[in-house]
Amino acid sequence: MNAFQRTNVVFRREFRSYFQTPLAAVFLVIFLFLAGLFAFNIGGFYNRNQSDLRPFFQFHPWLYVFLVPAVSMRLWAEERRTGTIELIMTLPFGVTDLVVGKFLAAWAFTTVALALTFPMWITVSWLGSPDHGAIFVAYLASALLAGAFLALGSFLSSLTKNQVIAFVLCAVACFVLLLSGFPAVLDFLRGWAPRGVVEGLASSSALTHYESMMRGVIDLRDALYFTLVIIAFLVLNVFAIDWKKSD
Amino acid sequence: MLALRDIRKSFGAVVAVDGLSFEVGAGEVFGLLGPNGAGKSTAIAIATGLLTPDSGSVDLLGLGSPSSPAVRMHLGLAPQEITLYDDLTARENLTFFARLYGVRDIAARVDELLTLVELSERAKDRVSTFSGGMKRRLNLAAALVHDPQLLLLDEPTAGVDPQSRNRILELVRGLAASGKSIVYTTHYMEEAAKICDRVGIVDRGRMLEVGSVAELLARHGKDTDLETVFLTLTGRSLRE
Ligand SMILES: Nc1ncnc2c1ncn2[C@@H]1O[C@H](COP(=O)(O)OP(=O)(O)O)[C@@H](O)[C@H]1O
Ligand SMILES: [Mg+2]
Repeated sequence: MNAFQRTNVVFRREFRSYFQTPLAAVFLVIFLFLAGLFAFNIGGFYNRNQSDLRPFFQFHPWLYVFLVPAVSMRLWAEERRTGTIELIMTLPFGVTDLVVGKFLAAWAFTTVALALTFPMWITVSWLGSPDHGAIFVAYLASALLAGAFLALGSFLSSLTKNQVIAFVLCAVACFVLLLSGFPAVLDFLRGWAPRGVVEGLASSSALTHYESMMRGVIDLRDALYFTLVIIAFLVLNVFAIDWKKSD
Repeated sequence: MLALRDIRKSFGAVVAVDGLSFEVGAGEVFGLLGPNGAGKSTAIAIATGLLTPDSGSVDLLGLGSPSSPAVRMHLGLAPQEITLYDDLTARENLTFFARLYGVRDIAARVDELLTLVELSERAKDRVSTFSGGMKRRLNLAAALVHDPQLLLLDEPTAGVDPQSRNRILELVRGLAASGKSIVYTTHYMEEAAKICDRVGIVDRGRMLEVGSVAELLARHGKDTDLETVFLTLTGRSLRE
């Protein structure tokens, strides 16, 4: 049994479990409904004489603030609540494989939700001739953003046995990670904070990197940013479990 | 097989385990007896590496501390709380843990365990539909998937009917007969008298007395039973 096989065991168990509760269906319906609603009504999908998916993708970060915590909240909090974490902690290997397996399952699940929005892509292709490369990059950006939020949520979920607390912590943390790159917030800060601090804040914001990718090019810095955020929170996740053990 | 030496563990101001030592030999059922809050579960958690003691040492099978993963391979734990996945069936629960442990021929092993705890007929039912006794038996089976040398059973008969209790006691005896070392915590004295080779009576984190049931009875006068000895040692005042 190697690390990859163990990760796979956990991945499969976790991924399946999403479809054994109504959560999956509720999540998918809400995600697709809101994504469509925002894109068509608020984003004026049809009124812009442009065939791209910008309005659709623009709302993803704000959707994820509420939807990602709903997926990540149970990852570890549930293991704590039911006490199964005690069995997991006594397994003859570290928790890294389990952390990665659970994270990947959650990520795969949100990616399925995202993939189900492909009719949008078909619609714009039918209405005009969009830049398919840019749309692909936007999908990638959206998936990376969801991944970063999920890693954050998985870490926060490992700190508590209460899913509601895990949800709220994650939603607030994701919101902060976005706000720190929101133009209005940055403009406000520019008035008095040192320039280095403001720029540092902006470049550590998920929103900045997400919007950068929205331009349709894969900048290595953006890809690296999301990768590092995911790795950092998963490492914290492992430490948090080792540190809090059975409490 | 298992040796705890002078273990201390506090939670803030509460001293949960206060200089506890005991050893469990091969094929032995060691009963850790004590009232609620005596420190039994804390001692078990330390023996499994779930908690790190403030001081003292733990040795498993002469291999060292359970903080090392290789040592944990030989350890099976059935915690005091039921630790099963409610949304999975009995079979799926055991299969999940068997896979993580890297057990070979998982289907056969899972069948064998389900038969052992008499849950074959309910193998395909979700744990959420199980009675307390069935959950306890499955919890015990989950501790056995990787055929560990040392078993730590924390109040494995809490909240079960007499039938399940009997089955669990039989099982524990059978496991010991096959050479496994077992730590069994309980506050039911008649259970301890029935299945334990040796018992240790703990209270307030301290070992008050250790020995075989016969030895303990002999020390406290002829016309007594384990329950009376227990109450004499731990006092009759009510606990948490
Ligand atoms: N995680 C913890 N945090 C704080 N106190 C604890 C914790 N675990 C146990 N205790 C305290 O330590 C003492 C021993 O508890 P425990 O080992 O569970 O006893 P037992 O299993 O014998 O009933 C109790 O006073 C209990 O309240
Ligand atoms: Mg206990």
